[in-house]
Amino acid sequence: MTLNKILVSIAIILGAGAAIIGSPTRNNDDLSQIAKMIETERDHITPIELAVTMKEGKKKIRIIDLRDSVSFYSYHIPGARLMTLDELLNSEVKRNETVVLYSQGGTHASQAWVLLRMKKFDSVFTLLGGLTGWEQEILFPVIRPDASDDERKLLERKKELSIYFEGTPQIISKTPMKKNQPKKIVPLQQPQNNYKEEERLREGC
Amino acid sequence: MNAPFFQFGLFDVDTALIIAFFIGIGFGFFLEQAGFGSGMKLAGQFYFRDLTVFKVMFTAIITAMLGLFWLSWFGFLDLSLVKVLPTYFVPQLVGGLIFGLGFVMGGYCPGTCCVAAVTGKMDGWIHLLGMFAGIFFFGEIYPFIADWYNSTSMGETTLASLFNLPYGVMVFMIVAVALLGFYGAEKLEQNFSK
Amino acid sequence: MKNPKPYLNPYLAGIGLGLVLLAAFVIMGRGLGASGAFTSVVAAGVNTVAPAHAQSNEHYKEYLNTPSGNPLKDWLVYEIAGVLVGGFFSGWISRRIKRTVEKSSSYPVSSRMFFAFFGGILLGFGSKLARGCTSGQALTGGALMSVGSWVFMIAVFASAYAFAYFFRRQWQ
Repeated sequence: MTLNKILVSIAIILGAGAAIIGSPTRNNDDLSQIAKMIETERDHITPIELAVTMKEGKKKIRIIDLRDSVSFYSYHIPGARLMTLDELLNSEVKRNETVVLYSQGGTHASQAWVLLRMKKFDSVFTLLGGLTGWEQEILFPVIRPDASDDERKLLERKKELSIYFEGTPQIISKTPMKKNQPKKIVPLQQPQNNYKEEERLREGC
Repeated sequence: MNAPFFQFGLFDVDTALIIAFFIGIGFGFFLEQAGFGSGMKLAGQFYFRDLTVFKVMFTAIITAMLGLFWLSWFGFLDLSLVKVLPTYFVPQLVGGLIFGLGFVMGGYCPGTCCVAAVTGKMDGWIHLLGMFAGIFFFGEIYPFIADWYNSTSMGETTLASLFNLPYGVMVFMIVAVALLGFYGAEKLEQNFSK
Repeated sequence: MKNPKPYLNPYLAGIGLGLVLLAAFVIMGRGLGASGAFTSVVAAGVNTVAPAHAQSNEHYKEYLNTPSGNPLKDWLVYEIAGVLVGGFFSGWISRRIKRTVEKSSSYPVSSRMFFAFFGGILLGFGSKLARGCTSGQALTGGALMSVGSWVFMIAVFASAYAFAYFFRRQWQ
């Protein structure tokens, strides 16, 4: 019976501890860990990295647009979802998803990033430069004809991505071309092929 | 660390199947060690002769429940990613009543009859066949009972949210009830063996 | 032949089972199961014999559409394969593998077999209605404190005790 008594004591201690604590989740995130992530630049993703990942479509990414609805409906990154900060915190976005946040410049996105990090989201990034950066790098990249060979490779890549996302590469000659709005306005939609729907919940037995 | 590992993409679906096999080995091993390969031992529960079923089941439940609570509290496991089965009150109640009758009549439940069968119990094999027939019967009449099957849905409700208690308090109450139950079970067995 | 070893202390066996269940939660984010695996087998069988019939049935379809396309390449099916191996291994090391029929010594084998089969039918049907059995609902759902699982568990015990009288000759 001594073994059983030991087991009973363990159960009582763990059970009583649970009752005293109440909630099984606690805010035990180490803030300095978050600071370190920002310093080592693991908090953001560049427009090119995002565009390449989206184009490959191998990894599911949830893209969140934190701007106002007018800007959102006039243009947003394909697959993005419009959310306010508050909606984001109470949304169904799960901790195991890869989340990319963007606003126009980046302030809102950075703030949202910190909030999500404190909620222990591990794979969340801001888009470097915000939508402005996306426009400059992906939609309307400037292609200089006098670029060096190394630069040219990168520019070719940018041009490819730009066309894929229906932007207009800006080729600088003597007379600068006029910027176009992207031809097609992407309608509001749920994230598409780059975001796989969660598996249906089947009976566990 | 991030658990559940599979939910954080630490390995793919094929690896998950291999893991399933090994988890199954552990499951089968402890079922057999507990004596659940024997219909006589299982049925003993319902004649107050041998309360092993109750003891093993509730010990397993409180072990896993306490484990989940503390792993979550230490930040190791994200409880929101562990799937809670949704509740459909009336079908589950009726299903439980039919299941209970089948249990005392047949002597096994779906998991234990596998263990009974591989340890040589012929009634375990027959029981297994009957179960396939029952599942087939359900599948065939499913179109006619689908509406009822999906009725009285309560979603992913837990006892804690139902009684509006903190999760940990509900855990403690279940542990307390289980321990009192174990005490009662030991006394009962002593009385019946006299 | 040596005598079979005694069964494990029920509380230790329970802790072992609980830790296996906890491992499933930690590694997979899901619990254990049994009846789901049998449903996969039934669905695969029906699909082989009468594919059109299986595909028109919502319930079978749910079990046929696994990510791999093969209904038997399913988590629970592999888990049950493990249960068979684990159960056999445990029985073997404890010298409990023996061809026998579980019943009270005076009870006729034919009646026992009839009730084993008929009980199996009820068990299969009941576990489908309840969306799980003692493993998937009672153990897994019980540990997660799911309301439906506790309702199921209480119903199982209540019903089994209520009907135990009618089967006493089989077990006593």
